[in-house]
Amino acid sequence: MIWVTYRQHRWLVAGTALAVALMALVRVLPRMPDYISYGAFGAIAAVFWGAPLLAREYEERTHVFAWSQDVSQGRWLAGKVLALGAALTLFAVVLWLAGLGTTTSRYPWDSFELGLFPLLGYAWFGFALGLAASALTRRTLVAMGLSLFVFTVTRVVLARWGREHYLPPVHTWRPDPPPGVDYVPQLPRDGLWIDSGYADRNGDPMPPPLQCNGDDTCLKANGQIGHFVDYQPGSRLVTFQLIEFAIFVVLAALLLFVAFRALRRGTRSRPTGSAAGTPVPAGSGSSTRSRATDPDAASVRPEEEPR
Amino acid sequence: MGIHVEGVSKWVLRDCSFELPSGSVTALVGANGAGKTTLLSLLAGLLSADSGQVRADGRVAFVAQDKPLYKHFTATDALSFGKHTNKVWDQERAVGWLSRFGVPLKRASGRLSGGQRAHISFAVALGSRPDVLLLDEPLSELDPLVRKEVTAALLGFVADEGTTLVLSTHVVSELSGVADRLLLLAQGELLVSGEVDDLLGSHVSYVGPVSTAAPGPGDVVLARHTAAQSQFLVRTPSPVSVAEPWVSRPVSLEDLVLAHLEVAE
Amino acid sequence: MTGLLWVTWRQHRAVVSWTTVLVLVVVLFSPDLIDWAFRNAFGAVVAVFWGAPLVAREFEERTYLVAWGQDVSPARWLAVKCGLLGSAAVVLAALLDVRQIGFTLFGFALGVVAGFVTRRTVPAIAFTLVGYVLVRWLFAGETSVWLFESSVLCGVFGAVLIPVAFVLLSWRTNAFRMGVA
Repeated sequence: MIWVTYRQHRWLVAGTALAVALMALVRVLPRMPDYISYGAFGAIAAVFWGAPLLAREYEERTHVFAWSQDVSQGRWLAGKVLALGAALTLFAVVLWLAGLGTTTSRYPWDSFELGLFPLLGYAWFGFALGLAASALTRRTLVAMGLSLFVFTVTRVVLARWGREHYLPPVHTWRPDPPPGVDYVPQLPRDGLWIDSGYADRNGDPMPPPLQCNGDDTCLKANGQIGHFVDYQPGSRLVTFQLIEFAIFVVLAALLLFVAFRALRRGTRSRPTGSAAGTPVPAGSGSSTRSRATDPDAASVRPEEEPR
Repeated sequence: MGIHVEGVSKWVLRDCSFELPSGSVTALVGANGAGKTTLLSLLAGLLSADSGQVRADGRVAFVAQDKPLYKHFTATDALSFGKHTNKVWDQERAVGWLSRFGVPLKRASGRLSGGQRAHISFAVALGSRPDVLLLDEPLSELDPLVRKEVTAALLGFVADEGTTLVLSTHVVSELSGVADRLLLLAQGELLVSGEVDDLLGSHVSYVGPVSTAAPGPGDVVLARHTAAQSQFLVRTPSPVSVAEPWVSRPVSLEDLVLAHLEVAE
Repeated sequence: MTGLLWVTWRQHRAVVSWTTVLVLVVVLFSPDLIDWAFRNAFGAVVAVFWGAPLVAREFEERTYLVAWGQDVSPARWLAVKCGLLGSAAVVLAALLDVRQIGFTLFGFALGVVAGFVTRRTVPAIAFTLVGYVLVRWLFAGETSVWLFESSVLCGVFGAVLIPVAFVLLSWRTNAFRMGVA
């Protein structure tokens, strides 16, 4: 199984190795933002590793060949998933190692997605997503497009609107300093800003009174005492990375389940003989003229002649 | 002239020259890899020759060996494709072919059998009413019982229209009674070219006791020796009768082709 | 001409429709981040899903034998397909961001050329993507003025690559053969 996987996918593995090397190299070079190269890794797993895996076999009808061997379909796929998954894992680790210590940003949350666990989670999720799309659509290009779309949307939605709510944020507030004294920022440098604004005497957020129009005396008269900040402290970075990792691993597991189910269902609904290459019964084509008017007769034929 | 080829070389093909009159039916035979597909692609205008000249008079249609089709096209789409990419289109003729062989019109061709896909390819080619029709291994996807019918139907169309037909095959037994001309390729070289009747008339087989030399005139194409007898297939402009105990026998097209191919191996 | 119009639409209607829907959704409704991402990625989407498969699929499924075996000459076939799909891509790019026009043209042409070189869909897509990202990266500047210029430059690259595609076509086949009346 390992040999088959290697022989069939060696160009994919070589190409990805090159891409990973480029990405790692590009980190040292100027002008390429981290998120472009590192964000692309999971997408590569989805589009180039997962999506073509089954769809190409269906499209070129080589699944008939692959699955008529002694290895069962489930084991055939499991072997591929394990071997390719291991290779992907290795690449993610290499990418992570290459990125260590080169982070340029002073804000740790900016390099959230460069952590080992997020990188692994995105790669596994992308691979499983591509695989599920592959098994469901059975067409390479469609699977590639679909998995790229779903991958991008999932990643963007979680990064933009999901991530900051993994745990309730830390809430701090402080009364405004008297006039002439500098305002000291309450947000720690390693904190992830969630929300901030006016605070009342209890330190609770309060909506800005509309009639005040920013006028300080008016604000104070309406009960504004100070400012509050909600944020995620830097100490939670690793916890949050693990939470995001867990989410993507669960999603990956679900998608793998979908892929295996689709594979099983797909092969069961076929006439069992087709996989084994049952010869076409003699005469089934010769009398087509008399069958021309019988739609059922025509509908039996398509699966009979695997090429 | 229907087809005119002079000194053509391309890939495996070396310096091929022949002419095929319009309305002729020509069988192109040779082992796998002999250059049949290259030659047909050149005739179809899909390839340009490295050297030499290829001329096919009129509009050419080509059905490739594996009968490629757009997988998500239905038979109806395939016919529309033919209509939209050709100057002449005979919808009735194309639809007629499909219904004659019971091909479903509304199913994506990727979900049809190899035989049904072959029929769609034939229908598109015939629908364009070509002056020259090139078929590469036309029968390979069809099951044996339907082959005769398809061959007869194709020949019928060709005869009605005066179409020049070239069909390649490596199944020699399919040839008898089909072609009136023969082109025999081996490793890119044109070994035999001519009218079938002439070729049969100029080949003869001598059978007799074990011997090292043929008993009559002619160039020996193939000599076979067993413990008891020898057999010589010779090419001669005018076959003569041979003395006892030798017997001279006429040669079948199949024998002739196989002998030439065997020697070329 | 109308014949190849039908052929182009019939073969590419799915990908053209989906891309159009995506563009319209992004232009009309989408929130800022997805909007930003898609506006910047549009050229890559066209490169990968419109350009790269255009001839690579024909080679892979051997349907180039059908496409180029009819009365319509291969050169005309390629010209009409590139013309129609290229124009559609330009219109969609203009809806998103004027600067995307140049990148989109470049991506499309790069994809078509990659298809001729690799003759297989997935490798064509991979090469196109790598080439596109590299060029975009090389020309990525800080100022918007330079960004605008890089878009124009990419448009010029695209205009150069299209003739390259025709040269590759005439390598593969007797592209400019004359139709017979």
